[in-house]
Amino acid sequence: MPSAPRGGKRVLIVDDDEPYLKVTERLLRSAGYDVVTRTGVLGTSFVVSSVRPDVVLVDLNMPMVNGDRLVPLMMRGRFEPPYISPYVVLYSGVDEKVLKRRALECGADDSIPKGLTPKEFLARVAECVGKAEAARELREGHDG
Amino acid sequence: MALIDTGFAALLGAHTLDELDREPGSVVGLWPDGRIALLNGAWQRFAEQNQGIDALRRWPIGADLLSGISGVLRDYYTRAFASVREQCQPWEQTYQCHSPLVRRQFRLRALPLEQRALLLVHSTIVEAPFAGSEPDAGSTVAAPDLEEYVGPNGMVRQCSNCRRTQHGTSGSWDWVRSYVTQAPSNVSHGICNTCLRQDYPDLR
Repeated sequence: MPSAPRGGKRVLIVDDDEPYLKVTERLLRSAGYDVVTRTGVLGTSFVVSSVRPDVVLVDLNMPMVNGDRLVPLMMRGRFEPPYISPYVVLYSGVDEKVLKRRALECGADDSIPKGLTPKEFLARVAECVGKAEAARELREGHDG
Repeated sequence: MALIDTGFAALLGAHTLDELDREPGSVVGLWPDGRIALLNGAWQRFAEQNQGIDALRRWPIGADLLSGISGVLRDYYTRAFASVREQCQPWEQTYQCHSPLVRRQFRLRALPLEQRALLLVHSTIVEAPFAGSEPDAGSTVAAPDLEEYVGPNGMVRQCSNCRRTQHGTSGSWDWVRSYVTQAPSNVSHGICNTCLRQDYPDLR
């Protein structure tokens, strides 16, 4: 299992659609992200606690367990300090309003629609990484 | 031949009606309240070539251009056009508008005119057939056996870009009208090879 990144930001993607997963992975890598991928949902909490991603992209519609079921299960995991929890983003090709509602309902921090242009997608991920960083700094400020 | 409302020519500034009519992409002029004031020849040709004669009747000179859309999309364009009017700065975006047979990507530019009027200029970025040249090209399926589109994992795979659906056994990407209108609950969104080639040429 890879160790936590020092410089670049790390993104974990959970998506059952392998071709889409590979495209997303390569796109994020080309933008300098450290990327870890999972096609199955089993053991995601363990992967999160081991890999310690800054952002987790979770596909909404997957066989066996949907993304909005996975998010609360994943967040129940106990993460070793100083890592607390990742910024969780639900992503899908469903109607954007539906996606936003389901992200809110399951406790995800954000949502990103599939089908954006590469430039738009990277901008949205960068925004999420920025929010994750801000949340982390805020927590550290409180702790310090 | 361009159609233009009385008095709109005076707001065109440096643009001429002749030049706008020669534009290969469709051009629409809007009054400050959003009513259509100008339609160039390309707008009419595009409608005629894409079974859009009804659109020409529903959106003639004087009609509210945004009356055909609702919800977030209407809010989005209302805000975008308002910002062009207020800031007197052009605004542009790219968008996709596929037909069952043709994959299309357009650029829309909104240009400020005098007295808060607008010009909307569409240009084509991509126009390529789905069928014919594509090895995995599918077909338009009006009344499909939907069971045939369920993959081995129980999911229906739909391209998140063009909304075509992959056949469970042949692997072709078909235009299943009912799935475009309403995706099934067991949909899984991926990307078809055509969109992969077009949108991610460096990542294949």
